[in-house]
Amino acid sequence: MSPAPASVLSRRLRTVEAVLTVLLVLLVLWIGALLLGPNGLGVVGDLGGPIHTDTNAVMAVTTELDTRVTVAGAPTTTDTTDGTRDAVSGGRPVEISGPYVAQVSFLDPSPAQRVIWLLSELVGPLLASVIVILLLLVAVSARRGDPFTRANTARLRAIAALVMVGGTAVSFLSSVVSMWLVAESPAGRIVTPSVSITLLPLLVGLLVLALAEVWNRGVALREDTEGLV
Amino acid sequence: MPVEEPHRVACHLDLLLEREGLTLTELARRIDVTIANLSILKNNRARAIRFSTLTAICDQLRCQPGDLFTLDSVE
Repeated sequence: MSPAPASVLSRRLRTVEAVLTVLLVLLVLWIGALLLGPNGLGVVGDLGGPIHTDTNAVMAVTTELDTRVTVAGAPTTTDTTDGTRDAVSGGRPVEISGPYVAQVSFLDPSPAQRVIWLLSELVGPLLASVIVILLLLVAVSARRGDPFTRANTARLRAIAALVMVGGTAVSFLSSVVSMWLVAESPAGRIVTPSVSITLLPLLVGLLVLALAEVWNRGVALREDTEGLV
Repeated sequence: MPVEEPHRVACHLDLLLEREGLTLTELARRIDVTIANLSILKNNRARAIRFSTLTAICDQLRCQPGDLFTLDSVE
């Protein structure tokens, strides 16, 4: 199977660049909305539209409630001659059990709480912006004809490190800040403090690192053909 | 950067072009090789040449590979 013509490849790469650029713009708007919005400098109100998030207007965190928390009106079951049935409808039974996840909104946070929450919210999009910029540089170099360079290998390794370390740190930081904010608040009575870390950034980062090493092999092969006419 | 491998192969593309009355640009167009690559060849900065490129150059310049390349003696 012969490779696609250069014009087709160039068009595809321009599409990739365009998508990455749009993503970067959205991330910058998100960061701007957090910094300038009601929970940041308060320069603008709830912006609404495509960049509206609940956290833009009211400072909130998502947390797991204590296992003692129950849901009023949850379906109950009853034993009948036909087996276990839903107590109200008599139909097939279902059970709802915790721990339940809830959004805790802080209606009047202290300045310290607001600053700490804002910083924990900013780290994720800032990290993502740096990663998207690095990917954009790789895509631009590919369109200009020479993607297999040592600079691109370094960029991919940097992306792997940012995803592995940064991604894990962002997840941990977000969890710690949520736990601290809720524990300090009246909602602390019905929340069991816990910190969670996801291993997903570690796995994705390892995949990117593997790709970076394959890319490095490509750089070596490319350098081998340097000066080949 | 890769280590430069020393060699004593000299390219006489400029002389053959002059003999045939062709420019580098015209030759590049005829054999579908970039001017940049032909320039690398002409200035003795090439490290390797594909046989297909060598064939195409010799066809256009009506020469043999031995006319295009010679080996400089050891000084």
